Amino acid sequence: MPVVIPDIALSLAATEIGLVILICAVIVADMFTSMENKSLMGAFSFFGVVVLGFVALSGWGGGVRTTFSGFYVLDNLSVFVKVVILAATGFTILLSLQYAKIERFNHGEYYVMILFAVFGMLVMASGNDLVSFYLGLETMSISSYVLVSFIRHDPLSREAGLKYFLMGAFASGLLLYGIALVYGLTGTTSLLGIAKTLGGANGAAIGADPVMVLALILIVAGFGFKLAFVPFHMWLPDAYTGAPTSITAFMSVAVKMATVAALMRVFFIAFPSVAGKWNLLLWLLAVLSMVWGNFAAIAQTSLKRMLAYSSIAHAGYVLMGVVATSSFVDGKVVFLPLGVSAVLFYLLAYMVTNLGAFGMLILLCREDYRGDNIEDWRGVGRAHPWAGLAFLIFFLSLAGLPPTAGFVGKLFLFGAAIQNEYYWLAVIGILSSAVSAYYYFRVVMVMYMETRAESQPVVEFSKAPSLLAVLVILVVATLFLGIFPGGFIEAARGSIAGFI
Amino acid sequence: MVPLSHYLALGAIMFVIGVAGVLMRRNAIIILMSIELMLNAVNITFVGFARQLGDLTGQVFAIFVITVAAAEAAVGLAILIALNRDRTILNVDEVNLLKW
Amino acid sequence: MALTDYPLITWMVFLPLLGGFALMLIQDSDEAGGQRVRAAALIFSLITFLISAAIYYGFQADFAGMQFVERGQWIPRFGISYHVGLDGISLPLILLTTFLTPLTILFSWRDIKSRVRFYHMALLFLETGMLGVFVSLDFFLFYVFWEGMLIPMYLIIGVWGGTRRIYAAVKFFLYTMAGSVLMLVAILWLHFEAGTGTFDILVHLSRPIDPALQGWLFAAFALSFAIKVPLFPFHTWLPDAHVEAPTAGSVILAGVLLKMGTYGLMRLAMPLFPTAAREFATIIMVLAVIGIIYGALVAMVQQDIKKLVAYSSVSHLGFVVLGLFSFTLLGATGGVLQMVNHGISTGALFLIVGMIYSRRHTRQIEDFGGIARAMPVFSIFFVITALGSIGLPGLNGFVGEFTILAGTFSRSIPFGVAATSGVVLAAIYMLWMLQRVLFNGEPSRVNSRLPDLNFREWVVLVPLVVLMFWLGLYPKPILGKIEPSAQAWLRQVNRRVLRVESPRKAPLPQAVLSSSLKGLRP
Repeated sequence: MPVVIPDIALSLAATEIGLVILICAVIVADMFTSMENKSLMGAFSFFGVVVLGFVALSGWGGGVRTTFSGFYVLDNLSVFVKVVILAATGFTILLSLQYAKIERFNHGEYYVMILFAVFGMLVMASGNDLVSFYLGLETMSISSYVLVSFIRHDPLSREAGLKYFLMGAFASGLLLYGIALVYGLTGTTSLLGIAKTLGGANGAAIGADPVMVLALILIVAGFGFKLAFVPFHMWLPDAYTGAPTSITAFMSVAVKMATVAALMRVFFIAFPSVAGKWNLLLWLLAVLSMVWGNFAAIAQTSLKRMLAYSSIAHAGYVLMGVVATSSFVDGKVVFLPLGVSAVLFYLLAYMVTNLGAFGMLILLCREDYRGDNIEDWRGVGRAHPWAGLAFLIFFLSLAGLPPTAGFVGKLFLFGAAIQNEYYWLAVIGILSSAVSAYYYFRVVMVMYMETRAESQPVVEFSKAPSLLAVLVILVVATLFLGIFPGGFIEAARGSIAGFI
Repeated sequence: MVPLSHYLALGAIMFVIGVAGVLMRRNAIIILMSIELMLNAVNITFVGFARQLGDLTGQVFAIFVITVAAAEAAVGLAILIALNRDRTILNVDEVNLLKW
Repeated sequence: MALTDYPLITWMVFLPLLGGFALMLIQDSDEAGGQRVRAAALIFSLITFLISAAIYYGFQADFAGMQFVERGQWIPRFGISYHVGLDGISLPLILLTTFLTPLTILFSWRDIKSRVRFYHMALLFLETGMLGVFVSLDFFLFYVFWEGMLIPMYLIIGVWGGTRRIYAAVKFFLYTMAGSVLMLVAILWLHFEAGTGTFDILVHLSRPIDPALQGWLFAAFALSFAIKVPLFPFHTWLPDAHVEAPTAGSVILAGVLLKMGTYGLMRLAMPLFPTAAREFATIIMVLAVIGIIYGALVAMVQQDIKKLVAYSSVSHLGFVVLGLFSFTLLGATGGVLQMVNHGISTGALFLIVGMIYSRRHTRQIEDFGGIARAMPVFSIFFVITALGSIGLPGLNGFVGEFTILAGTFSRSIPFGVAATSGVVLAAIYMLWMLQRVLFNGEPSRVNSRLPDLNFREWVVLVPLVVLMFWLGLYPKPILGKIEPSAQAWLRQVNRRVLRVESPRKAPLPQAVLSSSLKGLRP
């Protein structure tokens, strides 16, 4: 029997292949590096990631190309997502260099695990088949479990890891069962194949099958757990609080970006003909996340935990954009580009903002002082106007106030919702966003309007140049995206080419 | 020949048992086992469908799931052991330094 | 090259911002550094004033449209452009802003001792925000300035304010924020649903909107502006914010920020949705009249002079809203003029209150009495300002209030009568306060030793008093500039729109849930 070697265009997966080579190189180099010099691994990974970012960028504008028998697709959407993820990774590594020493987890494996997680994300971004999507998701998730519990000597971190792991594995189980049912109903795991079957002669019958509804509910729930939409969010505040701050930052932006990209790909490509069903589920999740995330954040005293709840709300805003992409005309769905491009732009804006906000926590962190409670920021704005200003800008962006990235992002998310006549969604979203201003500005209030208590240690910021450089870049990026978003909006818009 | 519906029913029952175990049991090891039960339910479903459809994808998927489950279990048990080093607890209700 | 060819508006709006950043370069750690910061801030605000004076000089009174227009692409994908310009409605408010800012900087020369640089940065950023709101002709730009100016004001109240400053700052912030987000929804609706695909205000003003939909949109806009004005019953943030803010903050708040509400009503809410504006007119006029009388009555019983002035603002702004919603030329012209008058008189009153507060560290009326003997010059200024505020003929307040009342009477006599009673009440609370503070027997030991005005305070008050007389005796030049625009505005708000078919049928909220649910039913 002749063996047919399929025609695989490896060049399309150049970023992933390069990343694997980088991972191997870091593992090998790690063996020859002494304990004191593990930061070198970080620097090494950083430069590798920068190079890979340009490699990923070179795939822009090449149209929709698939390889590995249709398991893998390279289009503008995946390029956009990959570049943003790699940028977030680069920033995270720089944020970690000093922090890893302070928290005493400065091992080479830390960077290796980050890169493994990134590998999973890149595969997710390009996953054109439920198999490749699942493998990417699990590679990312398993690496994240390890990263969350990476401060081995800290019980909080281990506990966060356990909770994240149990919930994550449970979510995988739900998602997988949903995938299995879809496979049984349609006979394929290829996203395009599923769409074809559902849109074909028997499509209406399959779409109306209660098993299909169950499958969609399971898949939505699986995504709901991974992205921590309310009511699947209970693991997130714990996991985010216990994890190393750099990993919290990383997860809140990169994991979200990859998972949202996969969610859009799965639902828009594979299930357009049953859009009415999943769209309603997502509508509910979006509303619950926006409202509950923002209200629960008000009650927090830990800044890290507050940001964790706020990230639930932000996931809700993103989901609003996903929901608002679908427009129903006479029972038939039409996907409008504004929603997806708004989602992509918002994720980019959220990336720079949230990394910056968590970076501020790292800035205040010392060996004997975690600095992640709101109280720890008392009077900091008075004593350190520059740091206060940076934090203020990040909070403005999180609250969606001009002239920052978050404002433009929210403007277009709400715009997308209004364009497709999801008025209640927009109104609920915008009111909950007004609520969010309250708790963000409570921190600003503590920073500027209260004086430091006698018992509190004097503020001493980290002076690591890598950390300061990242924060400056992120502040500038937050403002730049808010004032001159034109080019990035065009990029987000161009990402849709060939997608919907 | 055993019809497809038997496989599916077995898969569904195992899955429900697994979900119930995760939601109701408080012992971390048992939760882990329940998750494994869910994954194996998925595998049975996949393989059953693959046999029915005469399509290999389901079987391939099942093998991937087995592999991933192994990796997941390894990481999960490692975290559990790390957690148990200073506090010998298995009950997740006692894992309470962070509020749920 | 004519004056109008220069991008004067851009310079005027962004010079304070630039100045704010320039202040970052000056060290303020010692007293000399603080002086340098103050001087630099003063210079920047004075240059801004000069630019606005040049605009005033180059402004063509007989032309009702937008002047000094500048326009450039910003985010073409979404029809967002940098579009600025001004007309006879915004011009007086711009002058008021650029005029008050240097005075407040001059006033706070001694008042503000901590974090001098940061304070002046906030003031200058605030000036940019306020000017930007008055000149923006693009919704996106407008909203950026509208929200952007919130943060410096929040910080000014919260950092340099009185004892309950944090509460006041948060309340101010939340009220304004809550109001403006709904306006954002309405703006987005105009952009995406109305089928224009542009954020340009002038384009939207020229396009009729389906009267059936105007109600919702008008409500969203008007709520945002009503909170800012503040119209009764949305006024509760105002006394807190005014009383707790440092003097400069109160002056800017009363002088300019409140006008942004009435300006917004006039520039956006009413002409965009004229049908709805007419439908809501009675309700809003009732609220305005309640505000006038309620504000005056509450002012009457205040023990704190600053609170009294704060409540008098609620009353005065009620007049402005009343004038606008009378839909008459007199009402509109008077409304604009009254915005300026209120800015000058109330600004001056807050400055005067600040002056005695910095001497006595109390604002309770009962702590004073008879200080006219100790501070005769101060008392003269106080009396003139108070009389200007209550609308004595010959001073500024009279012209504005009189034209507004004339306009209101021509439309509805009951409203006119009710509003006139507000004028009487204003005279009562103001004069009674004057009597208790300035005259009323012998000054106590502490009060008799209070020093009279110093040179800096003279410099602050004289221009304001000169303006009060000028606007009271010879308002013709400024009225001449307001009138053509007010006439054009009146035509705009009086136009009747019959049914308009939107390019996309756009039902408003009642149909929303079903639109989200309709996918369920195949």
